[in-house]
Amino acid sequence: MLTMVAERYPPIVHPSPLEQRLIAGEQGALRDLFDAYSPMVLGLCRKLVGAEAEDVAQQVFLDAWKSRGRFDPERGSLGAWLARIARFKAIDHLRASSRRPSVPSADVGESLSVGPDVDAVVDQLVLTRALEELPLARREVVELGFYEGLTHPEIADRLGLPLGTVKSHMRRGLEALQRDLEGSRGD
Amino acid sequence: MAIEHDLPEFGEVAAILRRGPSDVVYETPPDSMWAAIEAGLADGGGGAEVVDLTARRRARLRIATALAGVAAVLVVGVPLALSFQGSSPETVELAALPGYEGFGGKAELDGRDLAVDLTGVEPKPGEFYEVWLLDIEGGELRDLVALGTIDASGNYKISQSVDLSRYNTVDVSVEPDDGNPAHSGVSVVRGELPLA
Repeated sequence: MLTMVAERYPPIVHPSPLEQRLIAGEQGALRDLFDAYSPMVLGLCRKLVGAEAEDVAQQVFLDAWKSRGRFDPERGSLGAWLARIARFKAIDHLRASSRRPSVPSADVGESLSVGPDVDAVVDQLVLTRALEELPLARREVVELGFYEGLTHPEIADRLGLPLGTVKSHMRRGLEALQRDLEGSRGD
Repeated sequence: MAIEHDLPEFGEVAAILRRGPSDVVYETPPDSMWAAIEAGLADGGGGAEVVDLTARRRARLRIATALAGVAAVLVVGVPLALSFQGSSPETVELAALPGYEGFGGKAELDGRDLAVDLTGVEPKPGEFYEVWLLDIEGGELRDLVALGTIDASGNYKISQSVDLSRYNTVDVSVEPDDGNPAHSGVSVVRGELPLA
């Protein structure tokens, strides 16, 4: 007997071992989180706050450990969650800097208007990182579509894939990116 | 552009992507940074906020934890009457999931022996395929067990402790070669064995 099954189920999201250990508060999980993500977090903080990046980055990891129970793998990756914390830490830092009497007025104006730039920098990093973590086929389709500006038929031709497969990869890829983008923002 | 016309709900993601890759430069932290974090923990910075986890997350964690070792997984199932033992072989077609059109195959269950043959699969470097049995009820995943990796075909002996009246969906996932034993969340084909 041959039974055709046409039902579709949504993708399955499982916490990674590091995510599980972090949520459980296991000893050593913070160090592993630091080892895996500190280059990204420190680079992001350097871009946002310059010379004081290390101070802000270490606050990001302390805050991540303190609020680890709030991390939800279904709402985005660990990278997106850390980027979210860094986003708010950087904004707090820039606002506090702008209130310091020693800061020249020109810098105050720049700091006060830097909010949208913080968001733009974080958003772009979150999507770049999320794209790198996609399965290869989806990543190729999204990169060709948005970095090289190809249309769906052009991507299908370039990769030798059916047009429907390209569209599915694009949709699934963008869904994953959107999930991380939302996970990197406020509640 | 055609992509945005087809997928208007991703307009913001598309706009950000179109700006190109991030120019943030990853930076190796100095040792002093970890030392400062440890000092912060010692000062009381490590107290966790208590947040109730949802039942759904607990369920997912339970599933993921079970996946940590196949041996552990295989004793989780409750032994029940074995619906398929002694019956004639059942064959189901494995249908492609969205994004993997062109993939397919069939699975034949003979007692506790499962034979899986895949068609159209093209493993890429750094990836492999893995066969699972899923326990799905009402469209919700309740649990799953790993049977093993597969190239184009494979034969698997299902433990007596796995209740085949529950674990009746054959699933093949594509897995990154990263040492993580959990299901990647990316399935390529599935087929449902007929319930007794």
